Amino acid sequence: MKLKAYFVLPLLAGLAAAGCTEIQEYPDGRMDFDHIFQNPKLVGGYVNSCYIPAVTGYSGIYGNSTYMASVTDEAHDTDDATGGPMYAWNSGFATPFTTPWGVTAAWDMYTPIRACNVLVDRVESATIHLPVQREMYRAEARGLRSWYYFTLLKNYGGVPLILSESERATLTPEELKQTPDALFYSGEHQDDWSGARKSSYAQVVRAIIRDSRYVMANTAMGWHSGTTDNGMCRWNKGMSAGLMSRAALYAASPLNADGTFTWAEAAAVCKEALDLCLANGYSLVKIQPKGDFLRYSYNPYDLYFITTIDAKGTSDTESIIYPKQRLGMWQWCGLPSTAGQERAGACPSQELVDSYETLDGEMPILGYSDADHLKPIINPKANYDEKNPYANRDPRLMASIYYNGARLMPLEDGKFIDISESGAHSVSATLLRHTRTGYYIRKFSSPASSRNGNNDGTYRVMRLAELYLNYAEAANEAASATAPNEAVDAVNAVRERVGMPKLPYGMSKDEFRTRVRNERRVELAYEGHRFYDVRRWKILDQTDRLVTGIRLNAAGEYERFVVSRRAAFTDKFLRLPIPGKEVAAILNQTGTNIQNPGWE
Amino acid sequence: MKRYNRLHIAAATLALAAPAFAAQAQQPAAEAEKQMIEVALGEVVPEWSYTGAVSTVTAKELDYFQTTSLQEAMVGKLAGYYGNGDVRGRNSFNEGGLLVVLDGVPSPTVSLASLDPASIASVTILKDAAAKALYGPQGAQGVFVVTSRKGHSGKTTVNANANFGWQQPVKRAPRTSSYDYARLRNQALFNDGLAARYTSQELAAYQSGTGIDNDWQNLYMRNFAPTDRFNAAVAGGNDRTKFFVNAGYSQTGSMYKADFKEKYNPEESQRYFDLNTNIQVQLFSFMKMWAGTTARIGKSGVANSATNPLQLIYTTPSNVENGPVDGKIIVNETFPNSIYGEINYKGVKNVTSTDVNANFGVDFDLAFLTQGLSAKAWVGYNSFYTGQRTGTYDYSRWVRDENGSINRFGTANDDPLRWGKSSQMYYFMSFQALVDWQRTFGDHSIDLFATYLGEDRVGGSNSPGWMLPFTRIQVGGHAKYGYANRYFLQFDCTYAGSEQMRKGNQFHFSPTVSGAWVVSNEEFMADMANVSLLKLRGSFGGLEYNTLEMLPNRYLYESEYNVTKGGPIMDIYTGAGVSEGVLGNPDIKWEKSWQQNYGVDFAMFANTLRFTADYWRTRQNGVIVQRNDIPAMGGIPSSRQPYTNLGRVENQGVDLQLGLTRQLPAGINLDLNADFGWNSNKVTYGADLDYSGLNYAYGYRATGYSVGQQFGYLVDYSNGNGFYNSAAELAASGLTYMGTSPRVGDLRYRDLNGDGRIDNGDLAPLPGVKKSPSTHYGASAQLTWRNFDLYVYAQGESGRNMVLSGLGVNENVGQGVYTPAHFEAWTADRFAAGEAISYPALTSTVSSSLAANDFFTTRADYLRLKNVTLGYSLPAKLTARAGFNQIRVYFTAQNLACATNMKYSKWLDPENTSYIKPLMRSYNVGLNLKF
Repeated sequence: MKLKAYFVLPLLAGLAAAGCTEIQEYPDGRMDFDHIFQNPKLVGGYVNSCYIPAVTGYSGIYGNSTYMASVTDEAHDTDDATGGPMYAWNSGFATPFTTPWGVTAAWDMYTPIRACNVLVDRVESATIHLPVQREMYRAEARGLRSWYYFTLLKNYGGVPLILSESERATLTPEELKQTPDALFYSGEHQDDWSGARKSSYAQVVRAIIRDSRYVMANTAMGWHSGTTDNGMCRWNKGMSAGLMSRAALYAASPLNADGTFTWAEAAAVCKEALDLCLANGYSLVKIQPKGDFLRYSYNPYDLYFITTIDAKGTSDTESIIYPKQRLGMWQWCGLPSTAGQERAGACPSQELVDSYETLDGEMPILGYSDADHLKPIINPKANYDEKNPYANRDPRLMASIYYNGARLMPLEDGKFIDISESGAHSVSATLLRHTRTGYYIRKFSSPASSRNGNNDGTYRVMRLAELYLNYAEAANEAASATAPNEAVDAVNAVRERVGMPKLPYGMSKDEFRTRVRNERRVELAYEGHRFYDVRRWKILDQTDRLVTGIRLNAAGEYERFVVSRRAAFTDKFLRLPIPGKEVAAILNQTGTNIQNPGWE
Repeated sequence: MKRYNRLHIAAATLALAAPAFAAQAQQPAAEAEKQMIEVALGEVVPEWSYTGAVSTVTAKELDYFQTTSLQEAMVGKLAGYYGNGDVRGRNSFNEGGLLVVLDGVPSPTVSLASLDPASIASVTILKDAAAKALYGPQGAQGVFVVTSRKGHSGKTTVNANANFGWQQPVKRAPRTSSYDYARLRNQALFNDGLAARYTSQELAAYQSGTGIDNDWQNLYMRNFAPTDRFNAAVAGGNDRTKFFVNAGYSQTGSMYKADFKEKYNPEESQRYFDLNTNIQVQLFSFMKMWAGTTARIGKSGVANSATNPLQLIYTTPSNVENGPVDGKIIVNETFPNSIYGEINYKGVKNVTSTDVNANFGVDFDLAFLTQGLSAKAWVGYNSFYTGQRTGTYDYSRWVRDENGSINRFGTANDDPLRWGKSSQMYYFMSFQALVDWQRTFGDHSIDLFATYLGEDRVGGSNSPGWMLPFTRIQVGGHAKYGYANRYFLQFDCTYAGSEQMRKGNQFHFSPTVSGAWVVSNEEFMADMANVSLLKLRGSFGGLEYNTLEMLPNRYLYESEYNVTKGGPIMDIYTGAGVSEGVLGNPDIKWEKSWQQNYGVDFAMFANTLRFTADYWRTRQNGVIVQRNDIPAMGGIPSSRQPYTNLGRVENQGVDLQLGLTRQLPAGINLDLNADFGWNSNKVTYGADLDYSGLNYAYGYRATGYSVGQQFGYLVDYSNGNGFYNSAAELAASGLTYMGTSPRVGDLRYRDLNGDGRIDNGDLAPLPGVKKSPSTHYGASAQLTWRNFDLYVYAQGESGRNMVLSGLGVNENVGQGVYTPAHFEAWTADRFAAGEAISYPALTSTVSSSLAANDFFTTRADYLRLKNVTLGYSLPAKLTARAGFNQIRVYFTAQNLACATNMKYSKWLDPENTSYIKPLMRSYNVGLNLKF
């Protein structure tokens, strides 16, 4: 008996000891928040992560369709064959509980805004390797924050303006007065948002301008994004100048103006921005095609868009920031005759084509005498032939748009665009690969691109030409009756590159407004401006009711037709809906419904 | 509706008729007291004095199922176990709390589907607090005690089974001809105001049969896929040693026709090798050792297509070119993936997996120290490894242009075959010990034990945090006092801890009390000899309820900040990045589940008629929920908000079981088992965002509803048919729809909040559309007559409705997928002609009618004939001469038929509305040898 006990008891004890009485934990390398700011590489990583939403947004492609062109009167997307996001927006399907174009809601920009605010607070005491890095990070935090605020602003109008905790003390009383509704917040987890309130459009713009000037006064940051390709997309002073100019222009525009931000102020800001850029190495690119490019490039304008020259600003002196990836125009917005093309994508509208001037500097189409845009009012002064409508037009037309009879080079050398029913580029109401409108987009598309190699250009996030046009528009609006000569000069600087005749001095303010708006439409086509321009001008209900196209009738004559009628032109579509969940959450805490008009 | 009634009458008749069979079969009443059940921690206890609520299914029934998945064989057989895997519905809106215990080892990484039914002796589910308590937080929702087959002393027996089967999906999509497709497509485009896709010439060609009209199912699918299964089990032993060995092999063939076999075999295949062994050795008189292993090796092959071939077969219209022409794979711009190409030319995925469970233990009889003392200790282990070898291959796509020329499409090339490999592994190891003291002093019986569990586990995930081991420790105690075999009082508790909570908050205590009164042992029952058992039970416990492992973050108590390489600016430390994850809540802990159970066990006629009923209710506090009511403008979106123990859920229900064993005239033996379960849960607080301020008809989306309640619009039928039948009617409604505007022929929605607009504020809880079905029932009858045996098993669920959507329901999938319902869609002509309209006006894109609404809400009750088996055993004389104990041939049909009141049930199945992974019906013939 005892023997057994001696045998069993130690065995049991041993087994009991085998299992332990304390839970073993395995360290996984988690760090706490403060630790991030005690390590130079992590501080850098934090700064870098603040870039992600911005750089992701730079790509210019939404769901394989060119940047927002199809939700404006610039284009009609073939995605109506699949009920795609462009179709959904144009049909008026948007609600506060869906995200337009299937992209991340702009409201999500508050996430990087918080990160930028945290950086503004912490960069002063963070462990950073070189003083110049700290200086650079300071500017990047402000620059990116202003970019995110502008993303909110252009989509939603006035939004809550949240600045960093440490800024409260650094702002002068004058500055505090400019943004009286700003909230200051440390970025810590906070349940109580009962003090949340919107700041007006002008207030947020003033904060953007403040940040832009802060950046431009920075000693570490340059006017271009670094000296190598590794610096691509990094914030630079040119971006702050450009953003400031754009923000000021928007703030003074009819949709957003509340009287606190005048055209005169906007004109001054736009001039300041343009002058600074010109003084710091920016100029319009006027490189003529040569060598191999002669085979498929007509002029400096189209060459500029189908090449990615460099990030350093040595030869591409115009682009302020552009993304690394080339667009895949040939595949997603391409010609059905290109090997491997999958979609015709955003097909340019007849309205866009009509806006290109004739070579004599006249606007050939002054408007439409019918609601369906089928009867254009032809300008008798213009050298325009309805039977041969693409001749004698602004060179930017042949550079930007493939129309019937346009030459295909160099992959299909000797061939021409043929939109006739039997042609390779025929118009179709249902096929994804064929144009709806009779046109295909050429801007950004290299004729040398196909499934065997992508030579397409990149989208331009910000470029100097816009700054000229921003200034021209603001200066004209600020004037009393006659367009100021500086405004005319600014427009002419852009026209000169493509050899269009100069606009004369002495135009009336209204006349010049028409011309500068048209110039903006032509020069900046397909670059994501039109969507916001027609809104801030409050002409959405004139421009976005329908788009037309062109086809060849049985007699081989050009015939205009309505491609699609749209629903997203009413006043509520001037602003995007604020996500409904956010509206409810803020309403519960503040008692105020912050939803935009028409979306409540 | 009518069918639903018939179905219920049938079920009720079955249940009512059963007791009528109960004649006075006299057997000694003591039989009832011999029934032993295996409960927590491998303890085997007499059923008659047990205080907890359990249900059991044994090999006797499992053996009829020709499947490699224990789960499939069990469905509907255990009162309280629902077909979707729930036990007693939902106590929480998080997943969790279900535990498989395999031969006494809590096996968090083992799924019931991975166990071979041929190796299983019984499965018992532990349902109430008293039964589950000792398994702690992991088992607080329910525990499956799975006992594998063991050896026996005496002659070695062999049981061999060979089964040959053919299977096919229970439902297939109806084929739509090119003509019908094109005509409905044009109709949909017309409704949307878009141009017609097909010309009248094309339509005429389709109608006359001169156009393309492919039958994809016929071209690329087999009618039946073979499925075979072979098993041989050997059991035997002597007084000292007992052993059991089972070896099994099963294979299932391809549902698709593949014809490319030059470089690899793209055909679908699934094979399993199973090996189970159990050995028990009485080493000394006071010491017994035991060891068991279950191993399953799986090998499968499947085409490496990103899209399921069935999805392509069902969504590609009959009229498109979508296959090889002169060696070129022709696709369509809207169908860039060819069915033929995806089945044959996308490469292959070959997966080999090894799943090994092992357990080893010792029992000590310590009666030499003090009478009734014993101890045991055991180690459990599971290791799962899967290796995937992927052969990537691709094919060039071509499109045919309108003029007939063929062009390259997209960037895909005929890529050479490339092989890659990936693997995944998970495991756990646990140690358990138990010291037990049982004594009876006259009328008093006492059972005390203490247990210890330590477990170390590695999950399958490779993501940060989750790849690290989980460790937990649990100690438990049990005390049971019995008086005069009539009154029993039991106390159980655990003190359990896990590293998923902050130090200092790691351990939590759960106590349970339970009692039983065995009325049938009372003297006043003595003259009621027919009653073999009457017992009343009750239990109440506060269990810790583990859902931590099922939530998206590994450490909810700490904030997550990770170093990434995602920074877009290469100049900044070559693209370094920092990501900010979910914020931590230092106080996060297990959910707390207060569970009550009241039951009665009743048996008559020497246990040949058995009945058990339980009523239970649960109040769960501290249900883990991520805050979603904090504005995102602070920069911390709801995806980063901390998790909190704020939620509360209540749940209650009834479980019933009935068993009957009876000899009928003419030598027929009947064995009948039926079970029924009902549950009803409610989220009493969901910590969700309140939308009432926005004038919503229903402010909350979780609080106040069943777990998983879905919302939708209610259709306004006041005009008779619920559609806008004319432009005038549409205009007269005066309603503005937020988002998609209605067209003529769309559904009229009710403006619940009366603001003149149809938007999210008008969403209402759709009746009965929730996570868990309210009731389930199952009944099996086993009849033997001479050498024939017949087994029939039917199982059903009801009380959960569904909102149907997507493939097979909506017409706007891909370029339009049309079912017979769409043939009767609203059109002005149909309406004018007074024809039946069973669907809103078709759309080619999206219409307001396709939002979740009560038009698409359907009851989804069903009663399924799960298994019908007819067997014949050769006469004993003949069998014996051949040296066998039994030679039996059988025919089994599984999932043979299903009655349901679900909408579109001609092509959709209520248990599985997905076409893509269909439920299979199988027909089997087999041979059973015993010697």
